[in-house]
Amino acid sequence: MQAWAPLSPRQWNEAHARHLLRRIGFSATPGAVDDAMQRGLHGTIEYYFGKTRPFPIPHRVQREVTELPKLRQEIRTAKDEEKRRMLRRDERTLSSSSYQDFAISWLSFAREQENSPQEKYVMFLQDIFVVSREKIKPAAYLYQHQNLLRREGFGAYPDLTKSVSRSPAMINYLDLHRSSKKSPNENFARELFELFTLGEGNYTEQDIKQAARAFTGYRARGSRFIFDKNAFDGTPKTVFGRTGNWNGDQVIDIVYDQPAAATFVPREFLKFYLAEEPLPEPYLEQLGRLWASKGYDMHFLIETVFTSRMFYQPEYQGNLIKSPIHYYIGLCQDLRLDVIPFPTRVLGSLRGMGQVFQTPPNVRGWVGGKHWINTTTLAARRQLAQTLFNPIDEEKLNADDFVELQAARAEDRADFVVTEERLSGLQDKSPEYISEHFCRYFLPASPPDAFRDTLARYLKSKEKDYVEGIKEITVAVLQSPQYQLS
Amino acid sequence: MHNEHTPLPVTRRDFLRASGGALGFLAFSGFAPSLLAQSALKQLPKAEKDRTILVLVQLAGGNDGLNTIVPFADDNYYRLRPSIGLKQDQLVDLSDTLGFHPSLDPMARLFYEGQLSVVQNVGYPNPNRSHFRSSEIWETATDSDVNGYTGWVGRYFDNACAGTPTDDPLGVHLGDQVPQMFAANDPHNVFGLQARGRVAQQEKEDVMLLESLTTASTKDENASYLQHTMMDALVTERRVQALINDYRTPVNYSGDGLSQSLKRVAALIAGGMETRVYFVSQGGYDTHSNQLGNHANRLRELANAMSTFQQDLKKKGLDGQVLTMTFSEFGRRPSENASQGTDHGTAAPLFVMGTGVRETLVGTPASLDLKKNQDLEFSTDFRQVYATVIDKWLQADSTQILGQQFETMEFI
Repeated sequence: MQAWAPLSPRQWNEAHARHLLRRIGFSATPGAVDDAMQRGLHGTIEYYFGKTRPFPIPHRVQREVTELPKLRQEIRTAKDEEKRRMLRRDERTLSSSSYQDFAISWLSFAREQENSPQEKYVMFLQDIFVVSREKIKPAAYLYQHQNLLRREGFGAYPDLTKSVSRSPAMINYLDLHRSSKKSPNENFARELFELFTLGEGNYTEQDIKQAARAFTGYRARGSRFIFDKNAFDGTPKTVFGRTGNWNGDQVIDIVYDQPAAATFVPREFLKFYLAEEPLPEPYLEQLGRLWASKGYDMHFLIETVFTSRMFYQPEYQGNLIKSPIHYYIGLCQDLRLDVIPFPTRVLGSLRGMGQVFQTPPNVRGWVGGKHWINTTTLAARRQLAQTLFNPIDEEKLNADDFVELQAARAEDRADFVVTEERLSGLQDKSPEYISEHFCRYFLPASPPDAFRDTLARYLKSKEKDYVEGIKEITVAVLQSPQYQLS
Repeated sequence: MHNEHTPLPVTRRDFLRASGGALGFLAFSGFAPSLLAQSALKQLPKAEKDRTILVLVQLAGGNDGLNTIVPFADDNYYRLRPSIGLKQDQLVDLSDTLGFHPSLDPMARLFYEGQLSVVQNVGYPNPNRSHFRSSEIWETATDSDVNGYTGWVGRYFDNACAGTPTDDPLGVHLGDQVPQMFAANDPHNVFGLQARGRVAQQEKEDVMLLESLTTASTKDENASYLQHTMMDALVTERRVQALINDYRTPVNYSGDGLSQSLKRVAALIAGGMETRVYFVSQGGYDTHSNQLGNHANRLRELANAMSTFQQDLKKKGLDGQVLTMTFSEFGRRPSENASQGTDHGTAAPLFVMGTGVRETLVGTPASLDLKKNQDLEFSTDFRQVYATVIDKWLQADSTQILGQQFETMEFI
């Protein structure tokens, strides 16, 4: 049990605090590190994960919630094709404006440092309980699903799994709404075993077929779950060798009697937070046993892992590749910027980096790690870092973006790019000093001397235009391979 | 306003506070320099010059096959399409029963020269009518009830191109998203560039700076992977920029995205890039309403772009090395809808272009003896087309890459 034993409070230091903050959130800014040092390790975990911070429904998502059912009713009753086509266009506009609002609002929420660990954890859960805008167009349902994970994600995992089986977005995404006694659809049952609870190799095709019958009759009416008794198959099924008139919840309970259930979520958790390569099985089994003995409580798993000695082993530091969202939010935090309120620009940048908001490519979610990185996505990352230093040309903004900009300013969000004025705050510092300063605060691990020397030398050559030089080396550090790591 | 302290000062006081932090982090220094970054820069011996190249042209949105290759001799066609059916006298001759859409005249000429093959009625069992899902099926080349992650081209890279000694990317795509076709199990050098517009200048000081930072290496695996990829990107960008900006050609590409994309592909091929697969895309095929004019414009762009590209390759003596193939996620419904358009359907023909083409009309046409809103039944599985290209053109093992054996065809 040594590996998962807690780090001694005497060992808690700034290096650990930085590692923790980068892994549970998106950055380790000096202010946040100071706070973490004052709170101590347990206090820091308690501060970030002790209570749920609600993410209020964005305005235009709320509008979609109220207007979409009416619109759909009109489409159903529309007399002619032309009218229907117009209404469908309205529906698309409604959903896309809702989606854009969801994206900007969520990024802004997650960007607030105190919310970051919770929202990163929600991203982890969304990577297990995957739904995608490729199939679920209304952002209202995507929001509802995300919010379910946020609300219930810190309790017992089997309970969360049951709630997810009733999530309208999930019901549609995995075709539960088409599953009936007459023709059970196996999609949900398969992913329940493979991707939510047990992992490949821990169930049979027969288990899937039988379990699928237990999830018949799950329906969504708009954003509401409905159980259609008539479509439910109440006859006996045999799942994992146990026979009964099981319903969906009972199948999930049976799943949690399977040994593989104890290690599946811990394995995914460690892959997301600790290391791409799986840990040796004995460590996983230990963690799984502990987790199972606490009723598969997620808060327990969070606390155990993040306070463990294992988590702070040197070989696990500074070597996870940031996801595009991590990179984006991390930049905003490291540079103390607000999320720019231009949805097309932000969403385009995320797309270019390979992570379309709320749109994982398939049921497996984002693969992550090295798969985030290729020359195309790296170019998009470089482009993003660069744009955060280019002034916004208000003359050239389109009307929508202009309105968004005004609205953001009215809410006191106004710092969208790094200004020359801020950079000039460093102009009386030496090249060596600045270079050291950036390396220490931006990078998750100390870079080789050559890295520092290159920066300092470059800055020295820019004596005539020192502030421009500072800007260029800042951008280069943020674009460098080293900054892509966490 | 955020009251956090960040590495970049807000005020002088902030800065002083920020820089007062502990030095504990420096304890992790002492990485050995790796040779990775150097090897990325080094000129390695070139692979054989006459390797084959595949260019994939995506017709995004679902191309209407029945109005592309028109079965004018079948009365059912006019029964199903009373208002958007194309009259025989408008068509360009293909066979006794089939005609090319009038916009495809330049491609019809290639057909008569034996450089274009029409593969009829290509699809797959249990068709899916979602753009996204059906594209995914075409790109991953799986059965329609299997969720694949890797693309068939990516698996070709995994299987056949491991350890190829080249600095050049194996795959190049035009547009800002890596196509799922390129998704692989192992990381490979794939490169993306914009379809048109200015190619950024890469000789600037700040790029050189980034390059120097990139060569300052570390030993961690992910770090060196990042380093390697960044170096690939910087080196390739410079090379691509030079090739595209310096490209001179006697042929005239139009200004549309597809033509400009193919011009770039021609520049890279002519410049000796050792890339094996190029991916370009043309949108606008989702013709739910007022199809006639829109579809004619898309096909005109397509035919002009393809034939100009082929002409260009020929003038450069490269036509023997390149095979170009179109694909679309699905065809469209045989019955027209009430908006003079067509809805999502199933099978459709595709084109294969190059001097490597053998038979110019392959596969069998679909039966149109259908009820209203009934779909076409495919006769050639799209993976037969892939298998043919993999085995006969790319000289790799299609059974391994596609996970099943598919009968190959005679178009090459």
